[in-house]
Amino acid sequence: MPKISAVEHVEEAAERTQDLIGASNWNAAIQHCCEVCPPKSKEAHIRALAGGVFGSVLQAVPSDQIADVIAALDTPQKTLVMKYTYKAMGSSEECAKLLKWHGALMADSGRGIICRALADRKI
Amino acid sequence: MAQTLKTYLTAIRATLDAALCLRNFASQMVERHNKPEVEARLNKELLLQPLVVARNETEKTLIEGSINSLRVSICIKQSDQMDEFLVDRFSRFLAQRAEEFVILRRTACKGYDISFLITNFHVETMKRDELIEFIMHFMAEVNSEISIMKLAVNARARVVANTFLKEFV
Repeated sequence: MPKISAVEHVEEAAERTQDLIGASNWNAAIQHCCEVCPPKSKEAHIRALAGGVFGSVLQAVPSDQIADVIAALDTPQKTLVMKYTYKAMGSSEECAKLLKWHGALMADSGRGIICRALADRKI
Repeated sequence: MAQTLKTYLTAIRATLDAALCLRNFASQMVERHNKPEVEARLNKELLLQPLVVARNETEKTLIEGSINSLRVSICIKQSDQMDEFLVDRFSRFLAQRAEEFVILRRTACKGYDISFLITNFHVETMKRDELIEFIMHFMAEVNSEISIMKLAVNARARVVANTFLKEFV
């Protein structure tokens, strides 16, 4: 079986995520992103690509669905969502939705989730 | 708009609360030295992931943590050239008096308007919650300060223009 490069892996994940977003399957889209990210690569542009994919999912989820999506995640997935929320805020023009994600994750998991986001330097 | 400001400030407060867990840690590279690791950046294992909390492209806060120090860099909202000039003047005024503020950095980090540096020694001598409250109060009030300055500049300019042009009437 031919090896797929990290870029192709992320691009495939982006396509699959877009399909799930198009079908309004928010839970599946977030969980698919959690499986794919962070990519097993040290290259900055691949990590940025993965961050963009995750950011697009976070922006796509409607505000009233955020709490329900978070409730369906387990603790490591919630931590990953928080890490990518911070990453997306660094590169997004509109951050109102991302701030809602931040507030909802904080309300669900407390301050510890921010400590875990601070401690991970792989994202 | 006020709602996003509130969520923005809440997110920053929570992040500062989590990141401002500092302890004394002597330099691993230089004997008998104690440097803020967020500034020295000599050992990667002592640094935390830098986090950005943003309201939009122009208003954001960068929070860089480490084992013994924390750096908070703030980008203040600037909607036109007058705002840019006023923010520049205001931040220079504050930064030149950085010693009086204790936790203020003399120069802001690249891409930001003003930076704070908090070390474990500051946290030992000052109350941690009050430090966070100080930064939050600064962020909440700085936009209104800039607006007041802008109104004052426009008012003075109007008076000057009226007085000058009266001579030609």
